[in-house]
Amino acid sequence: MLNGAQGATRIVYWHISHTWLIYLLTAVSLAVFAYGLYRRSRLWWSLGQSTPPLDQPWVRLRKVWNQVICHERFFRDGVAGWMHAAIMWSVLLLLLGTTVVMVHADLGIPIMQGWFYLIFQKLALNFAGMFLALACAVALARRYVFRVARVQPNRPGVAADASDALSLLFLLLLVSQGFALQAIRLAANPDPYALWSPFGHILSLVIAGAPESALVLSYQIVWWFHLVTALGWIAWLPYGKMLHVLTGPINVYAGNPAALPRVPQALDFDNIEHLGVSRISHFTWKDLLDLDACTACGRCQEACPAYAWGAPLSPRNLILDLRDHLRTHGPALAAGRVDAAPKLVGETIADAALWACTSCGACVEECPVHIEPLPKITHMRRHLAMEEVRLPQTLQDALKSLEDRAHPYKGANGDRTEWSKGLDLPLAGDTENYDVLYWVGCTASFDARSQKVARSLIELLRLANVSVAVLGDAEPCCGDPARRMGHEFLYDQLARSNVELLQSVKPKRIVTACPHCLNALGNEYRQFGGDFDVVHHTQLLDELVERGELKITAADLAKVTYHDPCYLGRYANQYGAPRRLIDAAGAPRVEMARSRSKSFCCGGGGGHAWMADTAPGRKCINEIRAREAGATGAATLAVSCPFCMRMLEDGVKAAGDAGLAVRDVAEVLLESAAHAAAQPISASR
Amino acid sequence: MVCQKLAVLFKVVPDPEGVFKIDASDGVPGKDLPQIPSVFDENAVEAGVLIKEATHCKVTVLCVGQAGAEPMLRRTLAMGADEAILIEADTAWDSLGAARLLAAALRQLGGFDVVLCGREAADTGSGLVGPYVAQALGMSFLTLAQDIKLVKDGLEVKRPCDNGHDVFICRPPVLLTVTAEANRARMPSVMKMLKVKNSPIRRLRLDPPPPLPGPAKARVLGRSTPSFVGQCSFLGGASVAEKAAALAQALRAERGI
Amino acid sequence: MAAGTKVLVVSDANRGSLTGAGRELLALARAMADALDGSVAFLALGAAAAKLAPEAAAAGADEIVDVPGADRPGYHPELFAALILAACRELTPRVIVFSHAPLGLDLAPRVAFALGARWATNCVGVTVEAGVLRCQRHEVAGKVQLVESIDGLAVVTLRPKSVDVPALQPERRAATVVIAAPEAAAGEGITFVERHQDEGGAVAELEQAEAIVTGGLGMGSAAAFDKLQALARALGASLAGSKQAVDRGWISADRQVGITGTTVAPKLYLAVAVSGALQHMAGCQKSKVIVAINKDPEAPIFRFARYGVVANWEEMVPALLAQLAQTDS
Repeated sequence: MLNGAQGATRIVYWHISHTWLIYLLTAVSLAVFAYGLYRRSRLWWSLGQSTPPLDQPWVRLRKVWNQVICHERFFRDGVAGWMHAAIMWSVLLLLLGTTVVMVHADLGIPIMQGWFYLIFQKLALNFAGMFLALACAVALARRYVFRVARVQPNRPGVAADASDALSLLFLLLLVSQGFALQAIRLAANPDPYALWSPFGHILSLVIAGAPESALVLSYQIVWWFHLVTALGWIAWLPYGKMLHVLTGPINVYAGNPAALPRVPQALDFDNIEHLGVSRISHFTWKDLLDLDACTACGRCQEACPAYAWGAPLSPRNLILDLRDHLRTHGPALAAGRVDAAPKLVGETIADAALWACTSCGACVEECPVHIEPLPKITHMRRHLAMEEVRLPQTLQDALKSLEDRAHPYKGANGDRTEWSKGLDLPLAGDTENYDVLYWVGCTASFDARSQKVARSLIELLRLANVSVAVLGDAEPCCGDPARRMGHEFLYDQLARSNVELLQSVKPKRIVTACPHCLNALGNEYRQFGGDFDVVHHTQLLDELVERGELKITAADLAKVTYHDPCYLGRYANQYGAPRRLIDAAGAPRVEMARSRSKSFCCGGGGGHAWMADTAPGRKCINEIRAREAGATGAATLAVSCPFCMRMLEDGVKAAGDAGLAVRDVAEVLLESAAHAAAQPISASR
Repeated sequence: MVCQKLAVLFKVVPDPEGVFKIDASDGVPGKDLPQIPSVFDENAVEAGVLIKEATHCKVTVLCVGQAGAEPMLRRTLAMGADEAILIEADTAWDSLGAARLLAAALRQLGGFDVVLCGREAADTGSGLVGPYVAQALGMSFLTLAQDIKLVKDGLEVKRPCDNGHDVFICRPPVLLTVTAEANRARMPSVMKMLKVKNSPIRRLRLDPPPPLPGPAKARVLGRSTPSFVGQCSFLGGASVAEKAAALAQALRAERGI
Repeated sequence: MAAGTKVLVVSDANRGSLTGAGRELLALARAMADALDGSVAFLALGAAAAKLAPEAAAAGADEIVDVPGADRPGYHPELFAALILAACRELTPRVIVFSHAPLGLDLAPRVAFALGARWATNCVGVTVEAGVLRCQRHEVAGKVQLVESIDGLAVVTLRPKSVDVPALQPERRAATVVIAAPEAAAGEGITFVERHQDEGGAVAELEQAEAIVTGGLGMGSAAAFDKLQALARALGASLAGSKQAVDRGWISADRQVGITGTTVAPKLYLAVAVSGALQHMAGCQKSKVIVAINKDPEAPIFRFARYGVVANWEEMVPALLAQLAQTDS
């Protein structure tokens, strides 16, 4: 067997003549393929708005390597990850194999021989074929036998996509044809290296006794059948689900190069024709490309908290509805028939679907081809809030309160300094003699529960000898609620004036206990010329503990599970500091199944802190998460966001869990800090 | 109903949700609070715009106040008012002073079929301005309009009565004071806000009105802000059962049961 | 102190009898008249003068004004104003008092303007010092309080439940003063069409209740109010709601207590899951005893309550019901 690979090769075109037909059929196939691609892509160019040129090519290419080749996000679902990886890598290998044959036979470069031939063309491709067949079988079984929920189509009144099954059946057919051809070839042509293609060899043993003429004829039939199938597959590719093999990688390349979610686009209100997205042509070409990259895998839907509690939003269905709107009405719209389509917002996409979103970003985080449903929702909300003025009454009240008194808590009846009475905090406008400016945030200023967290934070910072100043009554809302609700105009006004205010105060460093404020001040205000050093209170406390400036002695605390807030986790990529603080405090820590970047939203974002989300017989998002926390056996649910605090306290109440207390990480830490501070050196007690 | 000219009286007040302090130098409350539209006047603007949508009349918003009221007056333009006029004067906390200026302004501008205002200002809460203005101009008026509908002869108005509501027909020229139940003031679209961004707010100069006739004199002796520091006796122990027992005992004592 | 200084009370008598508000007006007028060394005249609108005369006398009136047309049912602004002015021409009162309620709010300005009087509305009390009226008023839902002095002819509207009502004195008698009918009121700008009275009489019930149980925003649902109803029954109390609860449809609007609802002053006011915002407290602050159940120890309601329990109503109400049932059995 291993007598060197000398002379190892195989015959191409065994009993195949009229090979010119191959080129003719290929040309036809490629023409159909090209036309299909053109038809799809021209809508992106002709309808979509332009974007700045794609920058940072190496960052983008690295993303393509991680996501497409290494399948990073696919493997979050173990079975599906390996299944799809097997399909993709096998197909790539097999295509490479076909290319090798073409180079060898049509270009006359004799590469298909020797060790390369044995190891790659025979062994590797045999396994590739077998894995491909197995993976396709698994895929079909998941969809049609085990009925895995995530992949089932669930748009009411919309027929299932035939290309779901056809894509897999096509591949199975091609693999079968391939193995059949190899088996017949091996049966008719004894090959000393037959064992290098084990599966083909086994098959060939089955048909070994057949007469030569039968083998030749069947080979010819199967060969041309295989050619037509393969070329048909190529031609069909842009017309069905298989388009994703091209649009997916391009979408990953063209997507957001940064690791964090994209900041919503600011609007130039002096030069504006429309506010937000109300037509498919208001999206950028990249948004439209997103639509054609979707394979309806359902990972976004599975991760979506709104979908989980039964709200009329599925990010996947949103994308598919937009895609169908584009495909159905796009050509007419591109030809200039402006009224050819139904209303994008209101008819194609229901208002309720748009308002159900909590802006948690899980959909953006999960998508293996980096489709972004969330910014599309934000932009369509802008149309509803600023043009149509069709938004829930409680949101209107919150926005009016923002306009009137620079905070969204209508009915709060207080002032921003109530929480700090007796703490003697200096005003940042009066003095420059302080270490950090504490941006309190509207919730901590007006909500009784969050006021306690603010006081705990000040106590901790004082224990660490950090001097803190505040803006006092002059502190306005960071504007995040307005932007998330779609009122970009109000946000623009608030952001600009806040940037001016902070630039006049010139704080060295800003600390905030609210991740939404953190995101606004530290990240989004850059759009308005604001460049501030903003840190979350858990990060600051972590630094202080690490430097020994805040003394902590581990105390005997109850078991804690930590809930990652969306705006600290997915939006700011901060997961470690809060956990280190809990550990330093001495509390045994247990993780929920959905934690870190997979954290399940508390349900308070996207304006939902101002919506009364209830439905009889259904558990709301916050209750779902509270139950998840309770199931860990923890006695304390630690949070680091005022919205999470409110929502999860309500959630725990709804779940009827009397044994679970919701506390901020600062409050957990304070127990140990106070414990440490109370260690008497003198015996003055 | 035929209506060609409609006026809305509009006041800007210190935010009633704020914490009120009396200024030591001039005794004026709430000087440091944000200025916002008086809520019932927003209902009045909305009622005016609804009438405009049915009758195509011209809606003029009148405000006695300071220049800081301009953005809020622009907002009423974005809601649908045609014109906004500012009479620059300081009549804060002086309902009668404001009423006399508004009456003079309306007389000067002349010819209004319907005048609308909130049932009372969100700060002073006197309910004086609407009725005073109407009577000064010789217009009929009705207070506490909680529902306004257009009918052939005029406006069909519902107002509360003891334990129910009354229905009236009001023929122009008429002044109505509007309650919060009458409507929900619309949020203007940003497109409209952008359109009125540079709209001019007309200034009206008025001669100061003559002193009030009659011998009676009224003046404010002083204002204060009460502090609500209670003496609440918190009942019960650690558990719900203990608290319930203590509370039941207290309630029984109070109810004599 | 001019002899014969009169204080005229104009009262909404559409219920056919002297209401609590009417008695308060008479009590206030009595106090003013005594300070001014004068007398109290009483004019009822919506019922015959003779019908109310005994009650009004027992509550402090010296003269009952009988003017034809005053008993007309419904509200007729221009006619009623003309009747009052006719009475004023005859009686020349120094002060005219109305209740700060739909009737008074509309008539008081008409009377004040026609007479050239000064007008103090939304008063919680009026005292007399050296012949000058000192009206205590509230502004901004009570956040600002002031005293306005009026020297001369005054028209006053009084907030309900502001004045303590003394016991009736059935032996008191009042003379009837008949006023000639005024000339027909000119102008038909405002025409009364019809009156719709709510069935159930919730407003009257709340005003007269000796005990009230009110649910607020913390109740969470209409079903929660059913549970609260059981507690109200156990205490012999009427059920009410804050504006937050009414706005969400958990309880009917005619059971709203607050600055834009009904003002009540029962002996016992039990506020369950009510935050205690001033707009609500303005409607119940005068209750003899306020008891509050709220899960938030910092809730503003505890600043007004005599007794407070920091607890979740969902646990407290059933436990309380159980405790109350224990004694009964």
